[in-house]
Amino acid sequence: MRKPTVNLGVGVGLRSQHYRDFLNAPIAIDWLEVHSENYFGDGGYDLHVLQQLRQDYPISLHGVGLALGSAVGYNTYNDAHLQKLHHLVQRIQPALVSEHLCWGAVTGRHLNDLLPLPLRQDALELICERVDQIQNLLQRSVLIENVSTYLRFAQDDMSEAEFLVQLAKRTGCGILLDVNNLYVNQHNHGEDALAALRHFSGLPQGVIGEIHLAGHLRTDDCLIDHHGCELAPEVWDLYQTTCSLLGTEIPVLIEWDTDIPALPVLLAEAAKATHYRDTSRANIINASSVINSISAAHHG
Amino acid sequence: MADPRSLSAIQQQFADALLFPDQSTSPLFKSSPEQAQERLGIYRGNVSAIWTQALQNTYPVLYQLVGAEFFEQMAKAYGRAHPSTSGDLNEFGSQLAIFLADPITGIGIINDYPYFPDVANLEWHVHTAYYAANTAPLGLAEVIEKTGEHFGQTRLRLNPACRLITSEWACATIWQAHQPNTDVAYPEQLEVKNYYLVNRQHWSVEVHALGIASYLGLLALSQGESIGSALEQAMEHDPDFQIADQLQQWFNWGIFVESKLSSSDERM
Repeated sequence: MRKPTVNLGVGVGLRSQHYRDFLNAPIAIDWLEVHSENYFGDGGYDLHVLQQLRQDYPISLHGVGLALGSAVGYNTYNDAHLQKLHHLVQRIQPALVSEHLCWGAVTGRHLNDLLPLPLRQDALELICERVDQIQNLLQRSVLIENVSTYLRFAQDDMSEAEFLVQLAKRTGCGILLDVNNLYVNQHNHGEDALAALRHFSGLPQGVIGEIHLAGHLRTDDCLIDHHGCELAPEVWDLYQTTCSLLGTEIPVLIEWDTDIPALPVLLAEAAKATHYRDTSRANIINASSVINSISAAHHG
Repeated sequence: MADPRSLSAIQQQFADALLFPDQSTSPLFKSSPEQAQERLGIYRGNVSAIWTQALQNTYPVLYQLVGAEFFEQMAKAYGRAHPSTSGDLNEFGSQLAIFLADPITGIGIINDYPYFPDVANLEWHVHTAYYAANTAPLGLAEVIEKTGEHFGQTRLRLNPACRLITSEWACATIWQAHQPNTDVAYPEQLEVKNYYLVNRQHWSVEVHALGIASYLGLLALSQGESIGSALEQAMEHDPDFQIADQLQQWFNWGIFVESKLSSSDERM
């Protein structure tokens, strides 16, 4: 079901505070991502803006509400939700569609948060089933994202990266790699972000279909994934490593959801991402020309 | 009892630990018990922040009326009493008017602020009208031209964003007084029977106060009665009802939308 990744380039999350900027003049950004649920209405201004902008920018629909790994009540909460998503996908014809590796509902109550999934075989079976169902409904591949968590379960028997790789192999879905979340989880749980990247680098090209970059908040106890500031230098470093291990052509997105700044601040972060991609690409080219010249000298 | 190590049991324990921290046992985490409590606290904070933010998006006037602190308390009580049933937070506030009207679960708000449930009801209708389907408004001249002598027997289709509401309180004026750049003053008398119309012509939702006769006429039209019958009902209530002016006003508000015009002659 997976299609080869199109190199969309560098994008930003579209938030209502910036609608006017985007409608007034062309913005130098390659693509836009929105939270799908904000466009579930039959009509109205938000959907109108999205339909306008999709003519000029490729759009990614990023869901926050399916709570994919909820053991109970999933169909009750999601039958209508999936129909609305399907309808939106048909309306917008997005370049990418994504959701999160998490759970979020119990009997009688949706918690509307991205809660940590026990990383076990039974959870993997459940998520595989649901990703299959969504991909069959939408008739396209979706991307599933690693999330920031503040807790891990004692009974976990694999890493989140191993979970996602298994999921991708079994369902043909792609992976949305959030580099900030990798860093946050490394800090909060002592996990190894580099090992995760190495694990992902063994996947065929195209499986990692998108990268997210965002800011986090540092507290005494842990890091909180609040998407409310510029990226930490350590996350930029990790993005650089990501580029060298996974390549520079994966679409990358700057997310900013709280204390949303003026658009130029967001675009400056996007420009920084472009810079990292370009530098990494130049390094790869240099490295390969060095190898070529060594090998030419050797054979010459 | 279900296996406490099953996914459903772990998730239920997690949810209980977020909502009822004093009466629950957390699932087994990798963190120490102390750290686990601290980290659960982050998720607890998220839960109430999500509830508050979702309600604030839907109920901006109520937020202005009560202030940030009270609003947050209200959101916490509401979220516990009326669990979210959708992954779409735009639906979270659907029961707020019912919650506020309940003297027990509504934390007694109704006693001090008896008009809050009706303000909430109005704001919920404004919220749903904002997301209603887009439609092209129908003009009065067009209807007259198309229906000719059958004008009186014609039925009209109302804009899907259109809602007709009554209240014992001056909610429409309260709402209008809290809009940006408004010239409407906060009502001096709150306990006044109100009839009003919520509608969206382009992208912004409008709230219009209606006379009772105008309300009854529109109500009849919304229930599928003909223009003639609707006007008769308005006249019955108010013999001075200005038919031409009111009709023009209704059409100017974009209440009616394109559809196959039907007359009662064609009724099956």
